[in-house]
Formats: sequence, structure tokens, C-alpha cells
Amino acid sequence: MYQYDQYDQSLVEARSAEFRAQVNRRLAGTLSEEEFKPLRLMNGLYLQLHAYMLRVAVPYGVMSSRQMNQLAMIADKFDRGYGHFTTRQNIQFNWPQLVDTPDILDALAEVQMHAIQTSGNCIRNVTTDPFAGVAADETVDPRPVCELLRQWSTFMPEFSFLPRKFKFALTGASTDRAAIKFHDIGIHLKRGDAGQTLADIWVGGGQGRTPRIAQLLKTDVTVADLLPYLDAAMRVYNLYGNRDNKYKARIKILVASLGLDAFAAKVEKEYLSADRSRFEGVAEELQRLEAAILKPVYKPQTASAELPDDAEFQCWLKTNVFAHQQQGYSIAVISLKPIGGIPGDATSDQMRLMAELCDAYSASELRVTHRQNIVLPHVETKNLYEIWNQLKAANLAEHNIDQPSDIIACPGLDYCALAKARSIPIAQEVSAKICEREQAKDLNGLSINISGCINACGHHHVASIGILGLEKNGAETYQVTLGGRNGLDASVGKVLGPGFSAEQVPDTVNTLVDVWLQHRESNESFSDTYDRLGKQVFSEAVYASA
Amino acid sequence: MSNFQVMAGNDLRSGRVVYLTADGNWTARFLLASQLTNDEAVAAAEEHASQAVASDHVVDPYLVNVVDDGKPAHIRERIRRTGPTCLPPPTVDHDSLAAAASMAAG
Repeated sequence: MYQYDQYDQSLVEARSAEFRAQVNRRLAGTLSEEEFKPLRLMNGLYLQLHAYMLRVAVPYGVMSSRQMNQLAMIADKFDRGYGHFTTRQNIQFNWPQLVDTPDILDALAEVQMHAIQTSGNCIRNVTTDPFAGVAADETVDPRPVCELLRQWSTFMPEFSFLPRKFKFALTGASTDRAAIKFHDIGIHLKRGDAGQTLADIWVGGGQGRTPRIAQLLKTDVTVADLLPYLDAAMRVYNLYGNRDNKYKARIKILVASLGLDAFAAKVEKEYLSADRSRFEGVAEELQRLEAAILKPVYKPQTASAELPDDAEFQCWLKTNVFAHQQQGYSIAVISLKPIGGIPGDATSDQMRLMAELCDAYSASELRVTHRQNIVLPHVETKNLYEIWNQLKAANLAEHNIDQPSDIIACPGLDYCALAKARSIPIAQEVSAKICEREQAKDLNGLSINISGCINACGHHHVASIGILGLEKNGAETYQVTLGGRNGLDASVGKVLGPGFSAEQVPDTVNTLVDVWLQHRESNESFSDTYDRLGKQVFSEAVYASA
Repeated sequence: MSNFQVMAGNDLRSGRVVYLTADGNWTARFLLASQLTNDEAVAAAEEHASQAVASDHVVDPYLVNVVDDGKPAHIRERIRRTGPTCLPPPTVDHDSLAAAASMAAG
């Protein structure tokens, strides 16, 4: 993985020192809350429902064992012994005290981490395929471009006060595990006929109150042209994006209002007129990054691994282990979705165990997924049983990756100041209810995501069954959407009908699954069945039994 | 309709939820919050809150409606009062933290 150079290191250390001085001034009363709030937000520090919340960046979801151990230390020393992994491939601490945050930032800087640009109307943490560099279906490793974007966008003055926050996602594989069509800009890297790296640029995707699937802005952008082209797109957004109404400020609204062709024409004009000298050295830097982001030295495997016939282990192999580029190696995904547990939470002990396992078995590297799980990317297949045994002892061996109980859930009203309804308890109830069915029957092709408000941090729009928490007369109510997908065949779920109480949600989900299984053809996904049958058959079943 | 109101805010140093008491201090314990039953009491609480903001003890104070059962009317405030409804196993003494927050605010 990428290692900071002296410039990177001095930058995060200087930022940490600067924030310490700002906190001291706030505590001394020389900065008002009004003056301090934008400063703390620029350092990822929010004031949530019960306490401050610190959002720590995990650039493109790649982390070392040393970093994971440091997060565990922070959880113990400055928080309540756990952290919450998010859909931005980041981690959030829910209980830090303001007086401790400078020490936390120092502790992060020690291990090449920070909380910069995890809030505010700037370019946020770039996300990518959690299997980047190891996926069997990958043609281009997106990590060097991710790192290039991180360096380009960090403290970039011109893009520090955009009309609204801005999110990039990249993939270089044939399967989209990064939801690129639901980002402000999604980049699909691929190989040209001559083996050169090319990029398709998608623009204007997003979830929130106005879900939009990104549109194809430009194809076959060369590596040399990529940063100038993205820079041009950002300049057009910065100039024309709506700054009067934050609900209409994302690039998806600009693209929709101008029309894709008009937006593309403005980008092209900006791109052609830009001073290219600003990008001198970029190609060389990308080459440096490609060399710096080293793959581990894989051991040659002479024989296929003999793995035990343990039934439970075999279930885990089936759902949590994925094909690796390297023969004899596997990608192992650690579920942070224990049945009835809190999606994305890990205790400090669990963090330390994951760090130990990746030191022992995965070249000291882990990944955070946007589905709030953890990946061991470089595992010798023969070691999977030992890993599984250790995970099992730590309640980390749930075999449910990409299964219905692998629920994405935002913190919801249990933590978030913006939320209208709780997400986590609903996820706990639904996972407890669905788990028996998923163990008894093949429920591949069904996803369930839950958001606690219209901002859609729980990605409910792109789930087969999406659950959106709302408030009605001071009480929680839950709207259900059906038919979403987040891959290259992206679709936005459609509202089923009137909302449900929290107590009704698990049974409602169960009824919807009944309908799907009753009408499912072959291995059809839930959303494919929904598209084929339409809403009525589902709504009749649900509202008849409600 | 609410029976009375209480003044809630966040302790600047810890960020924890605090409530204004009858003697003008701030506490993490909802049950010790001053019950504001009339306009004069509300006005006095607002004045206290303004002073707490000005002296950088408390941030974002606001009034919370409380109903017959002595609990906040709105679910958001009920959760704010009791903490997350889905707590993971505690590894830190929450009571000590709350007490520290109260002392810092006081």
C-alpha cells in the first residue's frame, strides 16, 4: 500500500498542530462556536445527537495492520472501545471529547492517518473497489489513480468551497463493487487495445433526496488526460453549481438541469482552454505511485489447498471468500454484520484481532468495504480454515457477505443529528428475522439497506428492498422501496406505498421475500423479479397482511 | 401539548448532552433538569443558556417539550435523554464520563 513521503507526513502533522491551537482557542473562549464550527468540521469533528463524532479517513479503504491497531488504541483510550465503519470506507468514533481530539489527530498522524476532508463542501474520501489490485475480474488496479486523486484534491484551494460535497468512486473490474454510478463522478478504468489504461467518466450520480444514476460523460480518457479532464469537470461544477439551495447543489442537479450534452460541452471547452502546465509531472507521479503501491510477494503455490469439510466453514467459504488474481490465494471478507448486531461496528478487541490476522496471513493489509465489512486481500487459500477459526472465536465469522442479512445501515437516530428515525434497531430485527431463511434457502440476489433519513447514507435507494426512516407526527415511520441495484446495471428503488411502523418492518420484509420466492424464476434476483412482475403483486401481499 | 419544557444543550468540552438545573447549573441527568412551566421560567432559562453559550460552557441550547409521563415528547429527545437504543457492550464507565461532562459544564 502507499506509504507517506515526508511531504505527506509533514502536512498531516502541521494540520494536527493547527487544530490543537484552534481547540485551545475555542476552550479559552477566543473563538466562538460560530467561528469554530467550520474549523472542526474541516477536521472531521461533528457534534451529533449525544456527543462529538470524529470521522477518520481511510483513503480508498486501504489500511495497514498498524493503522488498525492504532484505531483500536484510540477506541479504548479516547472513546468507548468500539468504532463504526461507514459506507465511505471510513471509520467513525461516536464519543470523543473535544479536549481529546488534538491528541487523537496526533495519534492518527503517527500512523499516516487523518480526518481531513471527511466533512465540508470539498472533495471527500475517494472510494474504490475493496478488492482493488487482487480481484480476479480486474483489468486495471485503480489504487494508483485513487492516490493521485487524493493528492490532487487534498487541500486543493480551488475545490475547498464547492457548492456541495463531492464524491469520487473508481473501479477497474468488470463487476462494480464501488457503486460508481451513484457518485458525483464515477471512473471505470479499463484496458485499451494496446494495453494502455483508459477511463470512462460517469457524472451526476448520487442518492439522497434526489437519487440519480450517473450518465456517461466521456469514454476512453487517457491517463495523461484524466486529471486535466476531471479538473475541468470540477471547474464547471464549481462555477455553475447552485449555491443558493443546498438541496439543489449537488452536481447531479446541475447535470440534470443543463442536460448531459450541454454540461459535457462546457467541460470540453474548459478542458481545451486549460493551462496544461498545471499538470506537468502528473504522468511521472502516477508512475511513481504505481511503483509505490506494491503488491506483496506472493508465494508460488504448488498444490491446491485441502480444506476441511466442516459444514459451517464451508458456508463461510461459499459466501465470504472470493477469487484472487493469484493462484493459491483468496480474498477473505470479514463480516461486521453479526446476526442481530450493529452493522459496521467493531470493538477494539475485534480490531486488534483483524490486525493480527492480516499481519499473520494477509501481508499486513486490510480493506474497508462500502458495505461496512473488512477485507483480508492477500490470503493463502490453505490458511483460510485457521483464519475462520480465529474469527469465529471473536464473533467475526458470520457467513453472510452479499446475503440479505449483510445490511447496510446508517447510524440513524441512535447517533445522527440529521436522522428522523432509527436504522440500527431495524437492521438488527430484520437480520435476526431473515437469517434463518437465508441459511435454509438460497437468497442470493436480495439486498436490504436502511437509511434513517432522506440523505440516504444507508444506501436504501440501491437495495432490492430499501427501508427509509421518516418522521410522522413525532413518531418513526418507514417507507419501503423495491427494485434498486448498485452495480453497472444500476437502478433506483421505487416506493411501494404507505409507510410502516418500526414493529411492522421485519414482517413486511418477510412478506416481500415470500412473494419473491413464490414468483422467482430460476436464480432471478429480487429486483429482476420485481421488474418482471411490477409493484402490484408485492403491494397487494404486504398491504393485505398489514 | 407539553406539560413543561426543559433546556437542553451540549457540554462544550465533552460534547455530552446536558440539561439546565433549577440552580442554574448544567447536569447530564435529565431528572435533575429544571421543569419550565411558565413563560417567566422559560425566559429565565433562555437567559441562563445565553450566558452559558457566551461563557463557552454550553453549545446549541434549545427547549425540549416534555409530556405527561415526564419524558420528552419527541422520540429524538427521548433517545437523546437515554442514549442509543442499541448500545454495544460498554468497555468504559459511562457514568464516570457523564459525571465528568456534568462537572465540566458546571
